[in-house]
Amino acid sequence: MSQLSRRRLLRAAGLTALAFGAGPGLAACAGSQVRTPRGGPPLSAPATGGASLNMRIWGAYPDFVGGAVKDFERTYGTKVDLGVIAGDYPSLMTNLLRQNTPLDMVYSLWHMPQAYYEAGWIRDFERFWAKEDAKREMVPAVREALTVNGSLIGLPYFAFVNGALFANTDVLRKANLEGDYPKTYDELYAQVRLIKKRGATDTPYLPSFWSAPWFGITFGFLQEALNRNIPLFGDGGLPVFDEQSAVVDMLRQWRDLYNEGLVPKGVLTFQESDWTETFAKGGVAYSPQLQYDLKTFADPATSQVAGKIVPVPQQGQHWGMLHVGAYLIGDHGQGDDVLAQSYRLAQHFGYRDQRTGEFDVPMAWAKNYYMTQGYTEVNNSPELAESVAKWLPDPETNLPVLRDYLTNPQAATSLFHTTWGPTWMNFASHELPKAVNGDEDAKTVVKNLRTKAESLIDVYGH
Amino acid sequence: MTVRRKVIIHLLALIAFVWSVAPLAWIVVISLMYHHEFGSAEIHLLPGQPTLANYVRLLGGTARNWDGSHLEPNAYGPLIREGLLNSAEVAVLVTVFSMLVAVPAAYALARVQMRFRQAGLLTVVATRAIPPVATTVPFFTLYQALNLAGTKTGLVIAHLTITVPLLVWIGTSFFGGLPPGLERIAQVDGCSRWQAFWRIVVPASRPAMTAMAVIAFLTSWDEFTFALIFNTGTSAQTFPAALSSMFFQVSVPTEVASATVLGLIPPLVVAAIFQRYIRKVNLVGL
Amino acid sequence: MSTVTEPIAPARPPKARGAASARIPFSSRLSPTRFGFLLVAPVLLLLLAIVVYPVAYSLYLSFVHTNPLTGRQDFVGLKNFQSVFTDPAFWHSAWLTIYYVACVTVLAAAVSLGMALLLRERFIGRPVLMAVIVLPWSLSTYAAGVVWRYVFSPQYGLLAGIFEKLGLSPVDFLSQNTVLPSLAIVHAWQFAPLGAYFLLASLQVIPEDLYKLGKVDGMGILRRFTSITMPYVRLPLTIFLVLVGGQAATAFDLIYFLTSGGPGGASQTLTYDIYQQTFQDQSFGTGAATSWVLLVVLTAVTAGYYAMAMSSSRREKKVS
Repeated sequence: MSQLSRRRLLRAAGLTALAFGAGPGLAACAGSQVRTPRGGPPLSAPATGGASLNMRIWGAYPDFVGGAVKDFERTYGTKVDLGVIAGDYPSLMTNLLRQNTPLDMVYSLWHMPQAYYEAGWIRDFERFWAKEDAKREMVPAVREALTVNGSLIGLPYFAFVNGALFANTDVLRKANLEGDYPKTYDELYAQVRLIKKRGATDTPYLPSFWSAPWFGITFGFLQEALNRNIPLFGDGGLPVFDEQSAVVDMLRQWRDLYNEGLVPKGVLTFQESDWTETFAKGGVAYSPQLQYDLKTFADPATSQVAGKIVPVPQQGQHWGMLHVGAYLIGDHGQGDDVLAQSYRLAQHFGYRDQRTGEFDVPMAWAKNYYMTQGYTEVNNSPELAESVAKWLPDPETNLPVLRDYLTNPQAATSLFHTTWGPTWMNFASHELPKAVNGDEDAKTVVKNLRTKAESLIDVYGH
Repeated sequence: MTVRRKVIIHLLALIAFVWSVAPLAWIVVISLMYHHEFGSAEIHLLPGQPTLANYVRLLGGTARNWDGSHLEPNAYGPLIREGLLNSAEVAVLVTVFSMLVAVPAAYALARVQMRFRQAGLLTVVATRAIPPVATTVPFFTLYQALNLAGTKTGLVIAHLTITVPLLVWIGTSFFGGLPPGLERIAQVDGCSRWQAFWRIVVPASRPAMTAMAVIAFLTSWDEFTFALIFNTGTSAQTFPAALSSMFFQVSVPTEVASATVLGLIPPLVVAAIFQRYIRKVNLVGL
Repeated sequence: MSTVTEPIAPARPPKARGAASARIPFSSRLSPTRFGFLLVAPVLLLLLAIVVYPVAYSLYLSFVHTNPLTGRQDFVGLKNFQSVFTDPAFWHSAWLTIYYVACVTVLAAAVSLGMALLLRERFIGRPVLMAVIVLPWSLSTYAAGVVWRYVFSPQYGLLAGIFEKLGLSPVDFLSQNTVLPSLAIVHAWQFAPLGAYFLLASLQVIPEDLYKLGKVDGMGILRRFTSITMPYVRLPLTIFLVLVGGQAATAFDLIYFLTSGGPGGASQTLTYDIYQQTFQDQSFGTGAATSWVLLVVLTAVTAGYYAMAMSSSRREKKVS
């Protein structure tokens, strides 16, 4: 054996030597990425089709997107290769863009593009022919969300409030609290305790505690802090919270909710589907949910709570924060002609279609799935109102409540417009649950969150 | 054997059976439920109203819901079907190439009196210690440069880096177990060294090679990390990546269950058919 | 064929060179080493072409700092390793990994040995059980993750359903204190069949007479197990456990599908930590450094294992 291990050692040494020699050389060519210089004259819409575009999405209603892509291909004669990215979308997308994969149009949430744009992985929309019109028609908060360093970097895929508070009227009736909606988080937490005490249900509150790498618990944290007016990040994304901050107390309240069994079991390892599934099962009084799931909840074929889910009105305090999805265009050194075709694809999906001049795809998203859009005209359209009425009990009362959510939402702009935000949010998604289940003290968690932000600022610059 | 002992043994056998089968049976049960039933406040251990609707819709058909309402084909159906086909194609190619490459190498490392034999064997098996997660980033960079990212060819090659060392190790112990002097007899009969391998040793190890092929197939069919990182979102995406795009989204558990079951059928069938060969494999290398 | 066998080299063929060399086929004209190399060459080529570069590049990455945005790389020496070793998160993950490996090996040992002992007996339906226990093994780890998510879920899981029928309240199997043992159950469920087959082969060579003698000597069932059965299965069991342990140390798919490292960091073993550093944190330097720490430890263990397997098989052959 000794002879063998000597050989093994020699080989390992050889491998190491090879690595030092070959590594940098190969890395040099792998790392050199040619990015397109910014600026240039505005482009005009291409007269003909052509090019073959790569489009990547996450798996929300791939059949609908596929249909819209087919329409586009038929109308303009441009081929589009549509692909659905699996699972941990932001990480996989970041990897693809970093590695210079030729991607022409991709989905993204609005906290990602700051890094993408500064790294030079995406093109902007400054040369898009309808830029000014699109910007003018956008909801102001959405326009701001999609403007990075003064440039428009994408068109909106959706815009709604993440964590709009939904109530199950059935449970509230059982607890004799119908119509008695909480106005603040403190009132909410007091009420869920009361509901449990009155025996209406065991687990009255389903919070956004799940720790998927993209939103889940981190978004839950950011939006509750925003709604409670606890400052977390200042100008330029500098952290302004510490162990004395009121978020410590907020996390302690989370811990209590978990400890007292007011939230469903296993909530920390939920996935998005568990989250909606559990609410649809009944037995939960309040839950911050994704607005578009209203449709799921209203369908008696899939939900036990059909006709019982209503949005809780905002009375002074906001519920939730702005959530924007975007269409971005990858930078893979494409020429103006391909860029123009990509603009047109983005326009087809994220603005008025070039040929019809109408909000075709955005309107379809809005009225088929209640995926509200970045454009006021779509969100206030009678068609949308008509569809939503199918998914809401008592639409006269509840539709205005939903509209109110999107009128002037709070937004985590100071964090979302940093390059390191997504990384910090990943960290937080693993750190925050520890405060909830008591693995770590709330103070320690808050301290770690601040330290992480500071060390990331060191690495990323700002 | 006393009666008591007999009873205990049968009881234990029953427990072993339930332990092995119950989790699989449960996902099948879920896949046969309407979402309405699955989502009811009480958990149903058996479907009250069993249905194949989830499968039909995944395969592109329409179905009736529990209340008679119409159900459209599953939106993930095309992804899942394409994934299954890609997985089959990749797994078959990987099996063929792994066998072509690994069998002669294993034979040489086991039976040809050559220098550096153990060193060679160790080099091959040492690569098995590398966790795929650790090499995906550089691997992906390399693939990007070679235009292999997002292709089935690329995935086949990536899988070969896993299956080949595995098969070499298994094969080595197989061939080593054959009676010594087999080749000498063959050579006395006028076979060349190659013929001794090809005409005598290979046929004599047919069960072993069946097992190796099965293992190569299963390993490739089941591989997730490379499939996810290299091919996600492309038309070369295999089943595991397709399933994960369904699993991690706002998805309906009954539909995820039926997709999972579809992906389980090929390995389960292969394993069940060939289990007597698998049983004989020298499992040390796995 | 069920035990480790030392590859046996055939005797050198009679002098191949010399007279009538023209009629000697090509493969027989080569020296054994050359012939062997020819057969091994494709494997070595594949490994050189595909495996060496990523491994070498990841080693390189561990010595540079890569800017996550600009891609700029600066040589930093051992700084990445230093920050790995001084990061409590690394030690936390290392500890979790060890704990996970321990859970998996204990469970896998119990289940596989139990199954092997059972399968040695005669009972109705034995062939069926023999075939059925292979099923979990044929599943991929990610599929096992999906399957067991539906078993564990407190909302709609199989276990929650059974508890409900028994009038008990559901249990959160994936809570911070139970998540690793729960994952280990899945791991053992999946890989124990392999061990069962492997151990069964060793059990079947134990002469029945030994047990009869033991009974005559007044040995209890436990004594018979420890002094007759154990010596035969100790080595194969160790081999199997080292393998399963190695697999547990690099488990990724299962954790990704079942818990994504959670709740919090409670199932963030080293492999998951590497994934997170590399893909989520874009911290390529420390990710690569962690990979190398894991790789070195694993290689040492695997090498030790192969050394053990080889020397023990040599010993075994001497015995037989």
